[in-house]
Amino acid sequence: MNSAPNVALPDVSFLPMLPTGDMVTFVFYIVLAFYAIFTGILYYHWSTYTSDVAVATVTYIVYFAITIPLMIVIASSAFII
Amino acid sequence: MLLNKLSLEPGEEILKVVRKHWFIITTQLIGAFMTAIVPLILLGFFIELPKFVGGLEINVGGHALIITFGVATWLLLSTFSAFVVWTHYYLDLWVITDRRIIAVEQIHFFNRTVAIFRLERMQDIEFSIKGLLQTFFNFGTLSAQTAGHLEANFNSSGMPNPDELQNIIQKAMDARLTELNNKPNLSGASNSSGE
Repeated sequence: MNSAPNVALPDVSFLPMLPTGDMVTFVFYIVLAFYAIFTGILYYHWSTYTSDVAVATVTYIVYFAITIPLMIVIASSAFII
Repeated sequence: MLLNKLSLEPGEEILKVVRKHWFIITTQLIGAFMTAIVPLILLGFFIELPKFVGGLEINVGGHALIITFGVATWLLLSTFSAFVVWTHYYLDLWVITDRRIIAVEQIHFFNRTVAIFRLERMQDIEFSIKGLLQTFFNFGTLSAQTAGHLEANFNSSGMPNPDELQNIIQKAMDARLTELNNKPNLSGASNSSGE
């Protein structure tokens, strides 16, 4: 006899179903926290261990020149969604 | 600053500060860049795909905001990766002085070793250049053996101009040994024991 397998899907109705906008905002806060931690670690290493202050300064400038616009784009899109 | 933390001895002179060859960081940065452009390539692929597959319709414009969010987040993470590469490259260095070699190895952000080798305790220093790229770009592995059996021998890969470094260290070792041999015995002990 060829019968279809009786597979019951798990009941996930207890999980909170967040709207897409809320999920994106939640991810944004995680990214923001990660950004703050990474920036702190990077700053600590360059201020403590660099052998040339000028190189450290250029590194900070390039880092913020790239990451701040990206963070603005991420934040804007997260809050518009 | 690092050079302040190294606390050089009075009269100690830095002969050379060496970092890994530029080829090493270039390949790693290219890797980070290739990772960064992956979502852009995928995006271009999905935009162009309907032109080649009849009946297929992909509404990229309808999800512009979430795509922008995803791509910007990916680019941010790739930027972190590139700065990790740059940080490890710049903070990983050898300081060769006229008395010591200070090898600073930045393995990860929270894994850093500083090894100090006195030139008078070093026995042998050798380098190896293996393969086409190392030969072409003139970089290789520099290794040194120390006299004390308790001290670890050390080696570092990706060092630029290893033959020049070997010469600098060898000359510094010879000069240091000559300086120590010519130093007057200030302790007052005599060498007249007949040995």
